[in-house]
Amino acid sequence: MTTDLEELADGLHSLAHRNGIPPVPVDTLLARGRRARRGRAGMLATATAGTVAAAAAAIAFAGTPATPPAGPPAVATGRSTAGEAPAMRLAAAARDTSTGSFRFTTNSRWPSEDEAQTWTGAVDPRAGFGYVRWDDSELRVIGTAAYLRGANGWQLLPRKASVATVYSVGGSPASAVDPGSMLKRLAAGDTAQATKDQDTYSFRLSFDGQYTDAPGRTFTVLVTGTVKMDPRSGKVAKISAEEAWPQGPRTVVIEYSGYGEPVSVQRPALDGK
Amino acid sequence: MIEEIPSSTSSDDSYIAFVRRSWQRNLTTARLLTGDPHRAEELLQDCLVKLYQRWRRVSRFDDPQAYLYRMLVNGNLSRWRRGSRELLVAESPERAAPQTQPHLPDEALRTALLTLSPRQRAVVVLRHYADLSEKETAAALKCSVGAVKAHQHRALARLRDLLSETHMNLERVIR
Repeated sequence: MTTDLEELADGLHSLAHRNGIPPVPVDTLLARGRRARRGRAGMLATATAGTVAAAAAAIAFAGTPATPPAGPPAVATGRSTAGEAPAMRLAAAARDTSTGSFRFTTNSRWPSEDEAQTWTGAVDPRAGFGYVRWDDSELRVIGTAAYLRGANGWQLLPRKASVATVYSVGGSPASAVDPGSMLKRLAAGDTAQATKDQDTYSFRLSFDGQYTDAPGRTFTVLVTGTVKMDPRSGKVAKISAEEAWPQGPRTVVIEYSGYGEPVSVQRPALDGK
Repeated sequence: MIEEIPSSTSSDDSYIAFVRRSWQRNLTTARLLTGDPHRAEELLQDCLVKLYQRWRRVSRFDDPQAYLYRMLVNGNLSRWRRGSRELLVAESPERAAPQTQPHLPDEALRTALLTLSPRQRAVVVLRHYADLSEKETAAALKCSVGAVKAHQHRALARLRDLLSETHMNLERVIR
């Protein structure tokens, strides 16, 4: 028993230290702490994604719901409309892509990591099927059931799932590593700017308050990037984004394909307990 | 005798000293609690920001380290309670961040830890990594010593079970 516990303590120590120790971000902590102390919580108008972007969306789609219908904006804004057409086309393409089945490959890279992380998968939102694979793991969603293959084989997750569960394995649902969330936000016109250059659109959005339960959360992650369209289908083919995190930038590339193709997901045989 | 109220600067100095002194211990503890280095750093930074806001009170009337452990444990529990996304993130690829060298035993332990409930994991980490007593662990988790014992018993049984299976598998793979 003692040996057991000693081994456990050694193992925990090894596991906890295996990524090295980054420098203490004293300046960041003090800056955030002082801001929070001054009570500048007014910036956090919403706990969900997109403080900057929400304002921009309100300009582009004033009077429309979060997911605007196809067609021109319901209310003219009186401001320059130069950026509206590409923004709307981008929104329509993202909406069109997100409502049918598609395959995706997501690559994410932090500067501190030697290799990019990759997820590949496919979803059929109408049928409620989807899967995503990464490293030696896989997640399958069939209706409201999610099955995860990890080190202990296939397990049924004890929570209600949906196709969005497939997207969420990469991290925060608000961040660019979520291929479904990105389409949803682009479809909602949730971009501060969307300028077209042939088949490529640029966008800028943000998110905050997604990682902790801290009510005084103060940092916002800005996401800038481009969206490349598939010229034949007019759907989203590739999103390249950079997220500006306090600890450094993260690059994310999502490639979409297989629009409208059937997605086959089999219910796995469960292992173990 | 008049008690001196610390100025902002001296308060900051003592806060900075505490953060520097305890950064490694708290970051590694957060890694074990969350299972992911990035989320651990986010969790710790958020807790340290909250601690800054309360520093004058905490540093005078409380044990800052014990207070921070409570914040880390509660922060991690709160995130877990928010729903399935967090549950999945517990198994996400970011938790299996690429390493320059393989760490098979580490990976087995990491995976086994993630199968524990957040409270069980917290007990294991605080007792066997942070080296807290049962009483201190109970204070961090805001539960009774009996509950800590029960969590620990179940957690260790599960870890033994999982790790003995994994070691067998790993041996087979290595051979």
